[in-house]
Amino acid sequence: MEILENLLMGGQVALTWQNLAYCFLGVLLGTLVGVLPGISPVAVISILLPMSYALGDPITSIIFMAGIYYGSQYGGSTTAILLKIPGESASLVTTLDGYAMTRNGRAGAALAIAALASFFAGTVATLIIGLLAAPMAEVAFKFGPAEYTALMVLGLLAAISLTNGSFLRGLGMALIGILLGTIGIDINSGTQRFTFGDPNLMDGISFAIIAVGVFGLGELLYNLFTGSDIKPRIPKLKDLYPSKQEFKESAMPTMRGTAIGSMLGILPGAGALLSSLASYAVEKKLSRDPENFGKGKVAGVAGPEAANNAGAQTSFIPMLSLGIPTTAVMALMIASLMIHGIQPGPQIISSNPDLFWGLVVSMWIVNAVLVILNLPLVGVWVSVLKIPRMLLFSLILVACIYGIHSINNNWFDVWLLLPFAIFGFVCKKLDLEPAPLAMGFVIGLMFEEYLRRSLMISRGDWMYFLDKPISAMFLAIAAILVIASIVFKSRKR
Amino acid sequence: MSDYITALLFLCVGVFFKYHASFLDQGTMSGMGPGYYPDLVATALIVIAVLIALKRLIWKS
Repeated sequence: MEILENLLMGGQVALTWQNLAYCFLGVLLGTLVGVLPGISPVAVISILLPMSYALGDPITSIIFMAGIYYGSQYGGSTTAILLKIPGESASLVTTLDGYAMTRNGRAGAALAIAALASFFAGTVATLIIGLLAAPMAEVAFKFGPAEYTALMVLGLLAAISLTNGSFLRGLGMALIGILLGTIGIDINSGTQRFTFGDPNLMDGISFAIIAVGVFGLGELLYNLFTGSDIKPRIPKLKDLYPSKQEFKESAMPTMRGTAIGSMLGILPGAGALLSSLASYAVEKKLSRDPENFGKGKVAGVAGPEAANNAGAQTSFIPMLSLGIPTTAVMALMIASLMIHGIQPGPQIISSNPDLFWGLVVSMWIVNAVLVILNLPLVGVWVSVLKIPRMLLFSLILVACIYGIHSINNNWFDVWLLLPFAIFGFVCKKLDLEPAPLAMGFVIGLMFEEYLRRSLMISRGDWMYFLDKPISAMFLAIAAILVIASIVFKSRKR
Repeated sequence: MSDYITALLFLCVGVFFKYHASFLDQGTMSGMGPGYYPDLVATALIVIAVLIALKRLIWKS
């Protein structure tokens, strides 16, 4: 039972008072901001990313980030159930039966079931990460530069083609991200690229600035111009405890949802949304009374919520074992690790086992904290919606500026936020998905390095990537995925 | 309309980076200089911008 030993070791690393405190804080902040309508988990994590830079320890910082991530997701589910306002696309499905349950007077039960299903899914997904990540990293460890280059192409193209929206637009955004990543000193030649002699740009643009600007402030601006104040009518939460019948009805959907989410989460792209949709469809198919879906079926809450959470968690697998971000959230996670001098990749599990297993255990802890903290505080979360938006947004803006300034104590960084915020706003307006930009930015320089090395070995021969069987296979899968997604999307129109 | 603006946006970013990359050493294929990779990516971005605009044009007719 090697995994038990490893989990114990991880427990020792993760279970310190400091880590627990930051875990609580992360969940608290994540839920608080995640409850706000129209603000996605990516935006929440972006806004709070600079805070993690200030934490000294990489494990503490990633626990904090994971807390924010799951917290914001749960915040989205809470408003989806109580007010029919999905905080993110993944909890769109939850609004169907979750809100119906609220109208039937079962709001408390719906919230509890969502939390418990998520907790169960999180526990299983944590174990899956523990079991799968290490073997996967071992395989990737043997890859040469050509295979790694091809793998990155596959990861990026798969992520772009599996998200909704046009493939070309997504690829364009990824390329912009890569270009932004090249700003700074080229490590191979020491030449400055696109710095225009400005010393502030020599180390490149901090990912936090791009994240806060494009994802955080861009979304905030968009909401300011399009959204409107809501006056939430908070339903009475009579009893938080689901009845025996409801428990029974949610057991199987939770398990199926966990299985679906765990599998789809490993795939690049919109794991969370795809898995909650898939789970809802499966439950409806398997149900004896499919006509009752949308009228407050427990299965319609438990399944998707479990799938959503499992998917969110297993998407850590490619990030941890291969170092490749498959979603915008994972790009943010990598950024927060890199600021602490840790480059995620296949070597991390063998070289920093304490970090890896500490992270695995801490994910489970975050899930547990979520159940303990969020259910009793539901009233608090919903009352956040009563605060005028202008006040909230101003507070967030101040927090963003303070956070960015505190990274380098540099006002140049703060000014740099402005063009990126405008860019993020324009992207929202144009319906351009900014996620590939984050992935491109994080992966860009690594990709250049491996491409450079491959071409050096092959003496400039591009066919080298097709001569090697594994890299040729990766590229073939990437090509198939891209073609399939283009055909599929154009047919849908 | 949004397609044309997107194409224009991509084109501007692509041209900006391609122009400034031209001042950097391109190197050779087997020994890429600092300018090679940005130039490659910027060129790809310009191609995508053109493709988005073309697709829109063809779709209309």
